Amino acid sequence: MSQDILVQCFVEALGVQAPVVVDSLKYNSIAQWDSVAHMTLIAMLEEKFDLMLDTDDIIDMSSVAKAKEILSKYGVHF
Amino acid sequence: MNNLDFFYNQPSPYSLSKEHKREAIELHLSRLDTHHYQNCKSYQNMTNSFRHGNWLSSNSLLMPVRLFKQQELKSVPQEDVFKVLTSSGTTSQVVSRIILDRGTASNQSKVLVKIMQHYLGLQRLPMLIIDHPSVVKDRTSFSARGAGILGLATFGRDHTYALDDDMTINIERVKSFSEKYSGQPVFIFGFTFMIWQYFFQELKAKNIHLNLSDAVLVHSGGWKKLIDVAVDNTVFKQVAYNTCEIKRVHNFYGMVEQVGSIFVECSHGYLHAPDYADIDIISAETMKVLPYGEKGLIAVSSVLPYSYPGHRLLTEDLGTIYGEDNCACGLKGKYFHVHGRVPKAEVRGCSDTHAVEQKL
Amino acid sequence: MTKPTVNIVAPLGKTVDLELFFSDLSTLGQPFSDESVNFVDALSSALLTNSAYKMYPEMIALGFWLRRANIQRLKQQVLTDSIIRLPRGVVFHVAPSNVDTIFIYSLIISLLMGNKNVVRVSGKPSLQKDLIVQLINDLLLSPALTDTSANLLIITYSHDDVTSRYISEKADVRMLWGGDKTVGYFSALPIRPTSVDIKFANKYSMAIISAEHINYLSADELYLQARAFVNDSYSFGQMACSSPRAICWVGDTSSISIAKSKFWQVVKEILYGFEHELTESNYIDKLAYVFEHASKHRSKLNETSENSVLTIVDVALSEIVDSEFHCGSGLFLQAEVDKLTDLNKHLSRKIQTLTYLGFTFEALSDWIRSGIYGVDRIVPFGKSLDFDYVWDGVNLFDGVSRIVSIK
Ligand SMILES: [Zn+2]
Repeated sequence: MSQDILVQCFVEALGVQAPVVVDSLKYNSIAQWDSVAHMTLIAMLEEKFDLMLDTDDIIDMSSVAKAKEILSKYGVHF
Repeated sequence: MNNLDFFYNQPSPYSLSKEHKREAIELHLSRLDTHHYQNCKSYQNMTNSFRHGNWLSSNSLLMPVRLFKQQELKSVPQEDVFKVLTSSGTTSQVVSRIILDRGTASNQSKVLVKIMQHYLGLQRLPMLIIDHPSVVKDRTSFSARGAGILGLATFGRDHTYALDDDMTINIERVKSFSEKYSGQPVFIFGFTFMIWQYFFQELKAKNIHLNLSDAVLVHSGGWKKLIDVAVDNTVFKQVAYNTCEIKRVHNFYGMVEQVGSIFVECSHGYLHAPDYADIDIISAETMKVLPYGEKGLIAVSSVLPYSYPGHRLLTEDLGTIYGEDNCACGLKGKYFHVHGRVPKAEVRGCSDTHAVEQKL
Repeated sequence: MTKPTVNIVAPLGKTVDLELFFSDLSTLGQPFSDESVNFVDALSSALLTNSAYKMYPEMIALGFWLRRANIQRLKQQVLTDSIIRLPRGVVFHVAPSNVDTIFIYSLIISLLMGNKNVVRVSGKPSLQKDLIVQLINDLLLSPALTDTSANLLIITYSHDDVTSRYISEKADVRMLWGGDKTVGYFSALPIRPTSVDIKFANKYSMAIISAEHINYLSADELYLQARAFVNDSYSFGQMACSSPRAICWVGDTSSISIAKSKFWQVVKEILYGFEHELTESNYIDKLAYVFEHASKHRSKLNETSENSVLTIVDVALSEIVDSEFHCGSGLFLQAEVDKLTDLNKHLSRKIQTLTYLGFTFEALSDWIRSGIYGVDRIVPFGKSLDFDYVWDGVNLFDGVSRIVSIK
């Protein structure tokens, strides 16, 4: 459930296909996940999971795996 | 002193083949480097700065032309200053100030003579000036326009001004000139835009046809205003022929900082570097010299500037060199086209600068 | 008084009696009203999701700042139970002509506080400005945003005194972007004794770097910091007032010399792949600046400068601030100090942002209290362009609201 929402956020924010969104996908490793798309992604995660991320966490979100780890801190379970 | 005898002694201003030219001009320019380094404090400081960096391809400073607007650059003692040339500040309030001593001024006219004689012959021809007479009245403070006309007036006689002081064409004067010298070679000179606007366009509007079929038309001053109204060199030449039957038209390119060693358009429509001057195309981004055929910033050098450090200039014009010594016209030297000014960058930033000054 | 004529850009198709707009205060809202928050939210979503804005990082940054989570955070910070905060009335925003999005931040802050707003935008064509105005117009069509629509007027007018004077005399707050010239111009036009001006002067920003810290960073860490520095400096062609234009190196001479060469080497490599917006004309401006500076101050081009994109000039510490002629476009004046306090006397009111690398929060907060006249904000590398509602030392929420006390 959370996994699906997460993938959907990445798909929409980065404009990539769902199979691309795997744990090992890293920030800046593909052209679509640049600093600009990152902001769209954060806004979307906050909206879909209804939470407010700290600045440090926004910066730390350097991969899909890391995103899950950070979201878990806010009570999202994967 | 700036001894140019080697160049003066060549049979024509387009004699030196590239190997000879490189050797001769580089030797001369490097002497000027030393002279200016020793005699112009500003030039010395600039050279020290840029030699410290790793930036330009050459070891010699290319002076951005804008510096002549920002400060007075002088490599001779004040008592040797003979006159000060200013650029006509039509678009901006700031003008270039070029400091001349007698030697530099005299070399400027000599070199101009050498180059122009190549196109006009040794005889002084009847001269029609497409301007009004008061532009040269004040002889102590020359505008570049006035200086240009005076410089070229040497090659003519019976100087006839085509325009009145209010810039309207004086048809009577022009007609009587063309009738008087009908069938003889004459010399016509003016600034590109003024010839187009106040001469050709007026003749067309008044439906007047002149027969100046033996005239040599020389013009300069840039194409910017004409490109805005979609007039290029081809259209210009066509209209010169249609209105006045003029067949020989020579545009020339020259910087007010390098008066004398001008680049004249050859019979095949290319501007040519004379023996006294050279041109390179520079990439603004890398500051390296670009190969022939590529478009970039025009850098011009001249053996003339001695009283001010203007012998190697970086202009704000774009151009392309097509080759050296192998133009179909047969003249030696690099040949090229000028494409106009570097486009102005969009002003960004949190504070309004130019926009506000104009509007508020 | 002569009646001014203005051209209404938004809400589109609306005819507004200016006189009535200023006199009718019945539409003043409550701070962070549901409607205003919804409007901001809709604006944010549109900016972040519509692909038309993807190519403008500053629009995405704006959308990011306006996102619901951030607005909620602002609400928590601004609205506290202990004070009663109300809108001031009509706010007159004078937008700068060159940065097309910054005035939106202050406009949104003012809208969120419940004020009525007149925004003068420049008539100069700008794609970003047109996009955002069009977006606002689309949103205002919604019947759920009638209050917002009544409280917002974006206008252009020919720069005549009559209109500026008319609006100035009626506004409760003037928000003057556009730097010294614009501020100076409007300051000469009278406002009511009860009104206030929020003025944004020309500002100059710098980076301060601890040499020792650089030398201790791993290659990856250095890369990230240099990348952040490049973003800070090269977005907007280094013309944003918060972009660093000078670097002050802090430390002993030998560590500085090592740090400099390490740092600039990485910056240079990053710039090869960076999409800056510099053009030939910018390069010529820089070249002329470098030579002019050298001739006047005997400064030296740094040997790291090997093309026109990155231009570093070694200057004396006393020349590190040049707010008048600095032409931006990737030009860095560079000087060194033993310790931060050596820099103190050069930090005038003109100094806005210091981006820093290698100093602790404690060290910086001690230092900034050590007798420094200027400096508005101190942010880590990568944060120079982030908007903050405290701007140029002014809390903008405070500026557009009034606090009522009941005892
Ligand atoms: Zn030729």
